[in-house]
Amino acid sequence: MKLVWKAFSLCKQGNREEENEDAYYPQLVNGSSLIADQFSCAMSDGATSSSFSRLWANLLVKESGNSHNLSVDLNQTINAARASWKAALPDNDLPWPTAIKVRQGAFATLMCFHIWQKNGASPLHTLPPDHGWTANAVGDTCLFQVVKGKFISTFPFTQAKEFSNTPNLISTNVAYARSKAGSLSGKWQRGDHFLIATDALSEWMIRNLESGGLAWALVSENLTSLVRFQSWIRYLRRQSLIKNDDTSLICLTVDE
Amino acid sequence: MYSAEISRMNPTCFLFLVDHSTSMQNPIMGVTGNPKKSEFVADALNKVIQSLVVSASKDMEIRKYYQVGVIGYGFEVKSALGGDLAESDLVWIDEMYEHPLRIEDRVKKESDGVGGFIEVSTKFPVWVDAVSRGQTPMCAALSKAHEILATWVEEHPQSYPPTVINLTDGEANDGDVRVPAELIKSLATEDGNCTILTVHSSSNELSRQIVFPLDAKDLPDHFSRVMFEVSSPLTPKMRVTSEELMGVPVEDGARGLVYNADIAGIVQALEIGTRPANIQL
Repeated sequence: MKLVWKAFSLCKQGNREEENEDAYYPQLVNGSSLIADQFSCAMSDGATSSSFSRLWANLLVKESGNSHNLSVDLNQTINAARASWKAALPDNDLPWPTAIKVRQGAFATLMCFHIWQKNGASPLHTLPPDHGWTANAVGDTCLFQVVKGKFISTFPFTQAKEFSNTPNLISTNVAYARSKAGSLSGKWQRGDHFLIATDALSEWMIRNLESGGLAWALVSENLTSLVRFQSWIRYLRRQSLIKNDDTSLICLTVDE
Repeated sequence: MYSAEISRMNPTCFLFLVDHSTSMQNPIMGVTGNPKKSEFVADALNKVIQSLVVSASKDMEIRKYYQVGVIGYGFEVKSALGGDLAESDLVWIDEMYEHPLRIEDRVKKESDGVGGFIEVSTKFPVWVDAVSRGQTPMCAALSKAHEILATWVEEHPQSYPPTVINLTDGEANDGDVRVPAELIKSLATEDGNCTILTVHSSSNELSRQIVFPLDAKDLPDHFSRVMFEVSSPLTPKMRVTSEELMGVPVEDGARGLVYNADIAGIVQALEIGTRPANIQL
């Protein structure tokens, strides 16, 4: 299986790039070709209202992206990320507002995507044995599958009205561990594209799919370089077509 | 309207007007043993400022999401902030964090997770102290608020508009409060007009608390109807917060007035008025 990787991000206007709380993993050079029997990647969107959510989002995607084994339960991955988050916090006396925020916990969405050519080793018999993919999601970071130049599925959201200011989130605080991950599996063929995007762009794409106005060509022409992607997102923001928020996209293509 | 995101580019403003009249030294709801109204209001206000500081806290910094002012009205009409913040009408939230009057050690009860409670020592920053001396120059306080906010809206045309929360137990004795209140409510940013919430604390345990009335006819007398006119309709987000906290729907058009507020009523009204629901996830 040959995959071509691209990933882009642009922080919210008015913020500094180091404040961008979207995270994805792995961090590969755009246009990299990967030849592998299986591949995992993940994207997360840290919540602005919580503290250390950039760190949390980064740890979540790293743990998820490294768990190539489909039998690893998502909860194990999240628990490992929780332990890393606690260990990474400053250990000196925190200012009182920071200490309260840390007690409340950090929050983030998560989309984990696995794709494989042969799945003989997987104990999960519900998954396709060959040429399959599966996605697990909490929150409003969405996956799109493009087959023969057409968007054929979106996950976990399928309608623009599902987006809100209160998406399901994964927290470092186990008291808030109520959000269950949804999952979707499918098959791929050569030439397919898989897109993963955080909420601002996902909402725009789903809204345009609903109105019949989203062509793959329109998206793909803006994925030729980081500069091109960022100009596109800035244009959409200026036109008030997407909200001003950290905006990220992964495009994984199963090469011809 | 009332949908602008609160950010460092577009901060918002909370201005509290606090009745310092002599009657505020009476116990809340007139019940002997209850805290004095002035003390309870000061405590509630300190907790609200603390919540605003926490909500503006991001990693190791306090972001400039809000400007906050506290105007006391009684024997004088002036900022009730003291220490390094004395004489400041509006203070950035990070400066509030830096300059409390003092930080008290208090004990609070927290759930132990198995059905009981444990006592936990906690730091309690204090920015305002209880004051109860003088009459009720509410018109002068509202005029001062108008003066402060007229400049603010000019400087922040795209921001979520300022929220004025007036905490009182009585009637103005310096004129018709509707006049300066209308001036405040006519101030606007592109996102909407300034809003006024009124929290009228009860002096009598038998008086009925009236929460967010829809119609002036729901109120018992001339004074309470004047308070109704002074108060703005709740914004959509305030209505959502009200429903969340009180568990009952609040209709469109309901006024931001809690009349004869009991202890819970004061706390809830302050939270409804200040919960920063517009910070984007």
